Amino acid sequence: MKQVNQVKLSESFLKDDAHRESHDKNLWAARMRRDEVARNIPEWEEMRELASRIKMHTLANLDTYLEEFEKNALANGIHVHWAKDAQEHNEIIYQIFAEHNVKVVTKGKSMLMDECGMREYMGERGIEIYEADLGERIQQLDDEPASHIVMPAIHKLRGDVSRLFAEKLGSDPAKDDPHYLNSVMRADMRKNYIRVDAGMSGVNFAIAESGGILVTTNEGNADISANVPPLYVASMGIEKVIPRVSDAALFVRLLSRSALGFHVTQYTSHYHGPREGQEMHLVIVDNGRSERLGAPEYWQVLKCIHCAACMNTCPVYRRCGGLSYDAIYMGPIGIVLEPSYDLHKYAQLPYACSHCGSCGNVCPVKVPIPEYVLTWRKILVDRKEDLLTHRLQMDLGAMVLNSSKTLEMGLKVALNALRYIPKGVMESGVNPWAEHHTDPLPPKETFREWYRKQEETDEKPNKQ
Amino acid sequence: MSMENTTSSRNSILAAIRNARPQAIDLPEVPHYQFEGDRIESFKTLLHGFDGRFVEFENRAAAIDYLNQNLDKSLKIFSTLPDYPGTITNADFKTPHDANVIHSCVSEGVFGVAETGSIWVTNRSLSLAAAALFSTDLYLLLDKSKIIGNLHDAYRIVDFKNEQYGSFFTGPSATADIEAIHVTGAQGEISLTALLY
Repeated sequence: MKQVNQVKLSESFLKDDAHRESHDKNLWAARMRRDEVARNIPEWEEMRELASRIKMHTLANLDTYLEEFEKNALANGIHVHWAKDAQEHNEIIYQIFAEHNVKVVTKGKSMLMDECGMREYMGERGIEIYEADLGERIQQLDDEPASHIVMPAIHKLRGDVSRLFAEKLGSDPAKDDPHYLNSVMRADMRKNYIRVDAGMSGVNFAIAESGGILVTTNEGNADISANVPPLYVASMGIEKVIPRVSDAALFVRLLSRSALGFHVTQYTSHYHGPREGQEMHLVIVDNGRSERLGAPEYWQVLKCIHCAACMNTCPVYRRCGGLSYDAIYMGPIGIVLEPSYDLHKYAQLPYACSHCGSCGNVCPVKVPIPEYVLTWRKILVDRKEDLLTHRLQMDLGAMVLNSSKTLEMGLKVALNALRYIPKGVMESGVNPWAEHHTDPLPPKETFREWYRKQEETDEKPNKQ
Repeated sequence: MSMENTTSSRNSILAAIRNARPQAIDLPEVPHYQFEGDRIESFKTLLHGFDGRFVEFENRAAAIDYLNQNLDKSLKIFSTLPDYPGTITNADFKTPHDANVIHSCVSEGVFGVAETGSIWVTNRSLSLAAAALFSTDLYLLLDKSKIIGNLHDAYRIVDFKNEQYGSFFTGPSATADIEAIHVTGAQGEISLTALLY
């Protein structure tokens, strides 16, 4: 499989000032709102620690919690299915749809379904899946994946959406007011809701104690998809389970505040069985998660509650845009998660990091993302999946740093070279650093040289 | 995909999990954090923050009076209130899809949450959840004495044994998916008004 080159894929976004600046500004605003609402809760930091520990406890007893959840969900009248991988997930749902003669589906957001390629699978079999979340629908109409796990089209400007809706939905290309564009989407989706055969959604949390699922949206799209048609199908990864109903309070309090800086989502909804005359199905999916659980180096990625706080704060993500990762999960959580799906394909992602550590500070469940970035780089080096250029640099570095003589000589050579190599050569592409920086002029002497001079001229009070 | 296959997947997934279990730690107790401050004031501020509206009344009869005076009876009104009849009922719908004709939906809030400005509704309280979601204007009556502190309080009183659908509605449906600009009236109801008494 072709390796994803995040640096190359971010080039066009980095050069596009209007898109990049708006993206950066909007995500940073979410981060600032997050700080403000978090500051107003005295127990915030304690809640993060508790949420982390509840997740760790649950993951360490995941089999028993899943069994408890299943037992209670079945008692609530929910059909529970288990899928080892994406293929099984899609087959199970297709079979349910075929049995119910489903033609039209409206769907709330689900990263898992994206991960499984569910929409494409159904499309090939004649089942129309309409994304019902505005951002997700924009991306579907534009034939692009989501660029952010909470705001899928946040890399676009209103003009992009205006052009897209004009082309696909017949709206006025001269109007780009987000209120107008939302009303276009609303009217268009109603056509689907009034003939919908089945609704779908992802799952934010599955409560073992009560056997039900918690699904949050701001638009109400998952609620309509679940409450209108005679069939509702939800999918969840095995890691979504939480033990007790009372735990939901903790996670709900953390989720939306971390995600967008709001106290709660407009619809924080719980499904504990089908309504009268309805069928409700739930597919529990592994797709590599149990393998991740068994990897002591990075199992805590499974604590993630998909709030996207790490993306909103990440200086690399905010400037490069989510599409540059060419992955289902992007930004900080993406770069420590995607290599476990395909090490070779995503081998360059753990380098899309400036080591500021901000993601680790905002994560509501304390996934040690900054540490995991280093973990993955180590794994990549151990398995010789790091870039050849990195390896040569490291080997050279090791050689130079191994003796003070070579270090001193190396520094001298390098400093002189930097002084005398013409600027044109330095910025010709040989030196990738010069793409976004201007190298400072190197000092005339090394620190050691300066220090030695001081020793000769100083009175050396310390040595008296 | 036969049933046997998903049973075998179930067992192999659970077996894989058992093989992979990390070091166990105890399940921590979550303290019952308390809401500090004026519940009703906080509820109102938060509801406004989420673009919801509220009108306050001396008593329930006054709230009903408000509905009688302000809602257009020539439109489709779906009501679950015993003291305020609507113009359309469940019997008029073959399937929930038909609830798309509803203009106003009037129902009871089970309780309110001061911390978030949310109103808890369920499939029982709404009678037909689609009616609330498809409506243009949603009115929820709420007894002010039923505004509780925070979500920790809320999850202690929700009744998942008897509610297939239960949701914290917080203002009308909204989106910020285009340039993070907050827009109300996304997929669900366009306006939400709490009638507080």
